[in-house]
Amino acid sequence: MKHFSSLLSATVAIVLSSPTTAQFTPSEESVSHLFGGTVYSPYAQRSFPSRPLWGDTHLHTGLSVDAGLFGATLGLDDAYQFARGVEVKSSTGQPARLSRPLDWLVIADHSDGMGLIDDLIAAAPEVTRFEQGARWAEGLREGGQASVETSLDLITTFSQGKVDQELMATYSPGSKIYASVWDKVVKAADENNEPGKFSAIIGFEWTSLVKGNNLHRNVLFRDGGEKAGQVVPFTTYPPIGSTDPLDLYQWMEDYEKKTGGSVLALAHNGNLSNGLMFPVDAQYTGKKLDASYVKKRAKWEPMYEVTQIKGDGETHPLLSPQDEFADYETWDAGNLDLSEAKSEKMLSSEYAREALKKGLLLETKLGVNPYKFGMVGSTDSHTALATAQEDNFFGKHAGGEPSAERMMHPFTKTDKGVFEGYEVVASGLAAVWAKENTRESIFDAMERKEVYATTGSRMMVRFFGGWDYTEADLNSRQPAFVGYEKGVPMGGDLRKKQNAKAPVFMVYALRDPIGANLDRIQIVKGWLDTKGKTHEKVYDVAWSGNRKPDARGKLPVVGNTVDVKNANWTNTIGASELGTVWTDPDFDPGENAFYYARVLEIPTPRWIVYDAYRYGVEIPKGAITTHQERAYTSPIWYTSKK
Amino acid sequence: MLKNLIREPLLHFMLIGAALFLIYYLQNDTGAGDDRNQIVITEAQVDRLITMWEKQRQRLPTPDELNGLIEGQIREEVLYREALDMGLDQNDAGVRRRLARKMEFLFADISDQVEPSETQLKDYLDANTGKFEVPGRIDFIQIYFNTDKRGSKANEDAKLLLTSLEEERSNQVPGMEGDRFMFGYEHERLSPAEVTSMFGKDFTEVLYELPPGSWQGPVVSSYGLHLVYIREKTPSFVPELDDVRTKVRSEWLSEQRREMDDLFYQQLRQQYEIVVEARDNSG
Repeated sequence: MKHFSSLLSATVAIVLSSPTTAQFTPSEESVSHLFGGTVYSPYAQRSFPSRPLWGDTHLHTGLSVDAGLFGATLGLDDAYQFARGVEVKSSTGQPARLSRPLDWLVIADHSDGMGLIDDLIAAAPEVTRFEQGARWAEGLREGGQASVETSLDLITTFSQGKVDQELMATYSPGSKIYASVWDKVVKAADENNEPGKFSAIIGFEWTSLVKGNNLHRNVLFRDGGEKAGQVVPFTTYPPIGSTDPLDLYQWMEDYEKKTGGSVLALAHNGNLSNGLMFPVDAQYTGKKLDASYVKKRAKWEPMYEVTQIKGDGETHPLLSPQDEFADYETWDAGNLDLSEAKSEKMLSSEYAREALKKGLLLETKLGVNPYKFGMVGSTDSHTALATAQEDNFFGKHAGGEPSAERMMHPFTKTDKGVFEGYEVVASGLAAVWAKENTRESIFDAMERKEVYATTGSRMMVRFFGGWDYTEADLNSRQPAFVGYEKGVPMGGDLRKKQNAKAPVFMVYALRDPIGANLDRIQIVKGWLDTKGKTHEKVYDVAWSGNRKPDARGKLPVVGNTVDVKNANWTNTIGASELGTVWTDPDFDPGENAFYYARVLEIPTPRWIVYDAYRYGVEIPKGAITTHQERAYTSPIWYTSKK
Repeated sequence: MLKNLIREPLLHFMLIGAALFLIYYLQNDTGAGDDRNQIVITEAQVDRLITMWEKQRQRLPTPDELNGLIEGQIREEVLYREALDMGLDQNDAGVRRRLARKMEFLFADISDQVEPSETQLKDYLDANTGKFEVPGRIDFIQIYFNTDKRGSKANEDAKLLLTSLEEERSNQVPGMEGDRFMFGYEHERLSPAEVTSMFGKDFTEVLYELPPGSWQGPVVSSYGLHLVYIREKTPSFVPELDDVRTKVRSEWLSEQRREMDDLFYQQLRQQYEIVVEARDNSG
């Protein structure tokens, strides 16, 4: 180490040589053609998306504290590789591969304590100088049951906000460790982003948990590392972080101001918020909902994650007693960590459909609809593997990766209730009608809510609203052309039209190319009457076969081909495509309303049926074995005044 | 000869590595002081304490609090030195893993310092064409026959229309023959992956075997039958370096990183004689 100083100059020389930036001023003639006039490329004329792009807005890797604790060893690159269709080895050493690649992915690791877990496992001094840290590090090192108990203790302590403040500060914005972890996240996204082929959208999860009640939001960047790398994520631990969404919105605004970039947020699991997700009178902080809150929420949260591993959030059977398909993958035992059981009155502030209705009400009161959101599904998987297909499901966390026992172990169990292992949901996916596969184009489609959710299948759904679609439009060679020309796509607002009697919707669905046939398309309508009361109604608008609704308008079931014992089903019932033009028969021009389409597949086996077949085990009593996967489109809104 | 040496990335790594190690040693030499029994808290260290405090608490420490912080630092230093003397760092799994990881970080820092040359990028692209290949694109029109609706007649209907299209030598889609199709009839510049995501895998495989410039089919998709007219097929190709420079560079760098990590490790490992005492597995 003594005679190296002469080599320093070599290093300096390399560091100092940087390329110069080329600059030129174009002539007026050379740029005039860029604006208006005819276009050379015939493809440039197409101004609407031709196919949905499939992705996941919500994937965790081993960088997330809880994922790492439960044994996730896969990192950012593994997650991208897997999403792009490459076979990887899962955390438990099992080969895993998607049936088809995704078009885009958001890795949304928890912003609080990002990277903490690596140091806990390594028993780093930054961690062990705290009593809690030392105890956890030791517990994790012991292995076996001690490690499991340590993990649970850490998660509970974390979710109850009882982690040592200084320990958290080491893994929070402001610390060097934290900045380097975020830097890694951003770099991995930039390296895996390939415009036109695969979009790696930068994001993080802001894990706001108030006494175990889930208020989580994922934050997505339109931008690359150049801008996203100028900040570090917003966290929830004080003094730097906060659990109040208003503070998150402020952070988002600051980001946009500072960098000129764009961000959006989307919440999930209102079903585990114990009544806090969609407030009507006041926030959980006690702060009354005012014009400022509704404006900000509408601005920063254009979408909601309506279905995922921890339950489906479209609606609840008690909220929609007339809807025979409302009870789908319902998780209603309590809040996220089951520290408090669910009571019936909490439900109305937890589910998407009810929120869409409440939004109409709040709009008349406060001027802006805070719950005017589009809908997507995502996995929230903590394995770095975005799996949502029933026969290829890698579970919620590393402990839930395929095994003979996974369906037997409770997912969460306290004295307040239980989420059973077999209740875990193999869901969902986000479909985006973006014009091209780029970060910007996908983000913009999300902002205009031209997105829809599925519970894991890739059925393709178009939904347009207008005043004068005809059967001939739907049956034309290019229904989408007419769709955009005469009306608006999902996520839009019905345009005003003189003398129009009732809105007309054109809806069309194709089954997943490798999936199950379709049972029916429904249109869900919610509206606000003149007395200020909200209502909902589900209409069957297109269905397979020659089924006839009975006297009360109920359509007979499509049938069921599922063979549970052999984990099998056939496409001998249902239809591979469905479509119709539907006019609202109960329209009142004086009432604000929204409409969204729900597409149901024929019954297919849930993931536990494949597990039981492949491992030769019994399915636990009480477990549901078959279900009807579905898609939820973003709504189209009708507003009477303005 | 010398020129070639300078271009050699390995040499670059070694030079930079050496420099970084040197800087690292110099830095760590100063703080400890010459006197084993003297502890110096430098101004820089005090500044750092204040900055850390400020970042966490959003305010400056009071004089008392600052004294507390400095005392804490002294205490840590005293105990740290005593612990080293007693050899408490030995056989502590946490300390060992931590130090090992610090070395890995140091490797990574070094590997990140080198920029590939033009020739290196070009060679890398040539050696890994599969990674950077631009997929072929296909332009085609198609007419769909829904087998749910038409049943076994779908095939007959499709063949009937095919005959008349062949006779007319048409390269356009006639009126509204066939059935409605969600994605329309005209498909431009689709990659094989995109065709698969819309029509299914079987369709894609057949489609790419068909000749362009005439009506063909019926081809089976996930939804039924299709008559297909391929307007243009662009084969896949390996792009020019300028068009994929960023990606080639990042792939090159990550491969170098892996190789260098391994190389550094192997170099260090060579300095040791390694003895793995064989366990008796028979008992």
